[in-house]
Amino acid sequence: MQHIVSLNGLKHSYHDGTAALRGISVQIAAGERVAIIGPNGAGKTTLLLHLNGILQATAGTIEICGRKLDRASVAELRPKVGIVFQNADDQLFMPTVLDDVAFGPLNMGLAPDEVSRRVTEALGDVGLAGFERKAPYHLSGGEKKAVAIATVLSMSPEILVLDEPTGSLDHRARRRLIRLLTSLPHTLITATHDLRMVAEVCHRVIILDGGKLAADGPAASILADAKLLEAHGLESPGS
Amino acid sequence: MHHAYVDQLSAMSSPVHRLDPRTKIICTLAFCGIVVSVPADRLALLAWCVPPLCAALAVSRLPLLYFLKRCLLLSPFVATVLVFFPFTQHSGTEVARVGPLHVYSGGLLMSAVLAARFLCTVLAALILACTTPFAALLRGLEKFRVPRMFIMVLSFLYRYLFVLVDESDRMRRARDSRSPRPGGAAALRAAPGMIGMLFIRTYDRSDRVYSAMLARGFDGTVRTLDELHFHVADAAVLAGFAAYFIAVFIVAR
Repeated sequence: MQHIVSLNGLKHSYHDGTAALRGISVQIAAGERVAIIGPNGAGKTTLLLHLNGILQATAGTIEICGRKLDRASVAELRPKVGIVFQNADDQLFMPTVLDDVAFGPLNMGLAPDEVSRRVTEALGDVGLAGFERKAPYHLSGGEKKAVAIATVLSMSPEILVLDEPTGSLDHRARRRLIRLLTSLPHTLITATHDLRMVAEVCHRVIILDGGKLAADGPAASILADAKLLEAHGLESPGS
Repeated sequence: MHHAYVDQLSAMSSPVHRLDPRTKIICTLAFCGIVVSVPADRLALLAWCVPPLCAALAVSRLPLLYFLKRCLLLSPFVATVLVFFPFTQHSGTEVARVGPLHVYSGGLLMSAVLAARFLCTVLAALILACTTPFAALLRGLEKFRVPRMFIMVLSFLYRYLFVLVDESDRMRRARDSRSPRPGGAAALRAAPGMIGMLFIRTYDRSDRVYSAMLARGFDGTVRTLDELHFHVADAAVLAGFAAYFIAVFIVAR
C-alpha cells in the first residue's frame, strides 16, 4: 500500500531540552482518517507541527507523498499538508475572510482567477458561501473554525491536519464540523481529546504518551479498550 | 463586538461607501490640504469647504450624532490652543478685557479659523474611515505605494487589536473575581504582572501566527487578490471635487 505519511524514528527536543517526541514511527495510507490522542503534554501538537516542516526533527525522517521532507523539499510539500491550528485566531490573521482564504493559493503562485475560484469553492465546502467580506473577529467560534479549514482547503492539500478541531465549539457547531470532516475525501490526521468525535470520524487511533507511541490500531477496538485508555489518562467515549 | 462600531458603519451601503477607496483617499487628502492651507484671514474661503463635507455626510447616511461625539472626544487637544489664542495673538483691535488680559479681534479670528480647520479635517477623516472597510482602505493605500511593511503592520494591528482587548478584559475579570475590592491597591499591585503576562501571551501568539503563515506558504510577501475597481462614479466624483474647488478659488480670488 502507498503510504502518504511515513514517520521513521521521529525525535524532537525543544530548546530548553524537553524531549517532546522520543522516536515515533508511523505509516499512514492515503484516505485514512487518523486520530492522535493522549494526555496533555504527550507531544500531539509537536508531532503535527512536523508534518509540514514548521518544526524540524532532532532525529528521524518524515516522508510526505513518497518524498523526504527536508529543507529542499519543504516549499513543495507544504501545500500538500494543510494544518488547521487549535486556536482559529492564530490561523486567521488577515483583515477579511477573503484575504485569509486566498492567502495560501496566492503564495502558491496561482493566477487570480483560479484563486477566486478556489476561495469560492472552499467557502462553499465549509458552508460559509458569501462570508468573503466579513472580518474574522466578527465570526462565531464555529464559523471561525470553518473558515480556518477553508483557508487550507483552498490550497487543495492531500492531507488535512487538525489540532483540537472541536475544542470550544458548542454542540451545533461541533455537529456541523463532524459532518464536514466525514464528507471530505482527504487523508485526515487530527490531534484531539474529543473521543466521541474520533469514534464518528476516524478509522484509526494512535495513542501518544510521554512522546512515545503507546498504541496504534483501529478506532473501534482502541476506543473500546477502557483499560488502555485509562492507563494513558483518557476516558472511554462510552462511559 | 462592542469595539467594532466603525466596522458596522463601514459595512453600510451608500453611494459614498461604494466609491473606490482610492477616490476617497485622494478627496480626503486634497480636502485636508486645502483646509489647512487656506490663509487665516480668509474665513469666507473656508466656509466654502463646508458644503462638500455636508454633501458627503448626507449621501453616506452616517449617523450625525456619532460624528459629533467623536469630534468632542478629540476636541480637548485643540480646545487648549483655542482658549489661549484670543489672549496671546495681539493683532487687530482690542475687543474685550478680562482682568489683566486683553482680547484682540485677530486672536479671535485665529481661534475661529483653527476650530473650523479642526472640524473640517476631523470630519473628512471620519467620513473616510466610516465609509471604507479597513481592509479596502489598506488596499487603497497600497496602490499609492505606501510601503508594504507599513501596510502589514497596520493590517495586523487591526486584526489583533480586538483580540488583545478581549484578552486583557478576560485577565481583568479574572483578577477582579479574586479581589475582595475591585480597583483597590490589590489591583494596582497586580497591574505589572498583568502587563507582563499580556506581553508574553502576545509574543507567544505572534509565534503561533507566524507558524500559521509559514504553513500556508508565506515567504515574506503578503499577497492579496486585487479587487479594487475604478468606476464611472469615481471619475465623476473626482472631476466634481476638482471642478468645485477650482471654481471656489476663481470666484474667491
